[in-house]
Amino acid sequence: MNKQNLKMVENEDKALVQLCLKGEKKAFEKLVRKYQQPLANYFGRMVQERELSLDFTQEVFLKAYTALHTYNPKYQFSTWLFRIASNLLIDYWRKKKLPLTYIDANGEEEEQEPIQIPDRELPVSEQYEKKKMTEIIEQAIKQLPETLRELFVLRHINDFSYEEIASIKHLPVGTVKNRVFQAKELLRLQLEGK
Amino acid sequence: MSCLKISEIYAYLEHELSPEIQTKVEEHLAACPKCQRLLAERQAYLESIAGLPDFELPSDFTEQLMALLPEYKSPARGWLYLAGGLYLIYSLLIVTLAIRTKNPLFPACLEIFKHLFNLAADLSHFIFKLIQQVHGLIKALAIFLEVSGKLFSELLPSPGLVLFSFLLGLCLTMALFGVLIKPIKIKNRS
Repeated sequence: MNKQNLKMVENEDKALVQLCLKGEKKAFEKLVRKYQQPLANYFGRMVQERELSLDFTQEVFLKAYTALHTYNPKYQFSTWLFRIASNLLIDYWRKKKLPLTYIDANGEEEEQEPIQIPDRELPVSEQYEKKKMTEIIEQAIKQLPETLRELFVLRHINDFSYEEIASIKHLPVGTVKNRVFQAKELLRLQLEGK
Repeated sequence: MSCLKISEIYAYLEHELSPEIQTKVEEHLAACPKCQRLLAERQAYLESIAGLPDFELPSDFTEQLMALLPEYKSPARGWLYLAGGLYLIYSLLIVTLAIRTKNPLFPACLEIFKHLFNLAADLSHFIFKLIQQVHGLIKALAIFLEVSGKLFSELLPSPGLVLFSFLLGLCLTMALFGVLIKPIKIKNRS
């Protein structure tokens, strides 16, 4: 999406939010229709159960609706919405007491050289048929560590820019880039091992 | 330029490089079969990820969600009731004063009371009836100011009391307007 289109989408979202705040539920419905699929794609890859993914998607919209007056139009609506989603996920992981790998947001990490992974002979995408491939990729994504997986999903499933992900996760852009790179290569290695 | 790092290949594929570096990378790629192969691999890999299907949503997901949304609720509702109540008391005071003085302005006072009472009764639905309420309020205020002026000049024993009543009325009016035009917040009932 080019910058002009992005700006148009942002302005449209902000106008819809303003209408919501004036009591127009239809405007919120438009936002729901626009973001339900990206949110479902996000949760679908982040939690293992389908029903739970749907519940989380629903909950994000309910939380957004009740907190709409706190939305600051200075920021993109989509990143605000995904921040709610990300926080919901963190709470869920905490309650489940899953061992979380926290991302260190200090500047040092940005300076680190990304890991170098040797290339292999055959490209992964040519080894399997499409359907089989899809299942394998989905399974491999689920095996990534949660924090790497989240950044990977935001970048390559939800198509957020690195800057937008940095805004959602409150992380430096360099850290996000580095972690997404690690996730990509880790995933690729996992796929090649299958 | 030496062979590309994997991170540079990804950055190239994702259009994350500056135009200057992008040109250098392209020049190198044109001359390096190894990097061309790495690029083709990563490109195919990213395309296979981009081709993943959407998570399937129930067809009535939006409708179900919209049915769950709470109604808009003004956090200022309590204040509105208070303001409405005070207005009611105040209008009763004015009416009582008018009755005690047995003045022909009594019907006008009743008119004020009617408008103010309706205003207070409709406060809970004020979002949907805002325009009617504002209209009623303006009408009531117009009559109120007229009556107050006359009371001030003719009827009440103490000019101080009238002045106080007038100022109180003015303050209540301004406060009510202030609350009515305040932005709406939403509260979750659940």
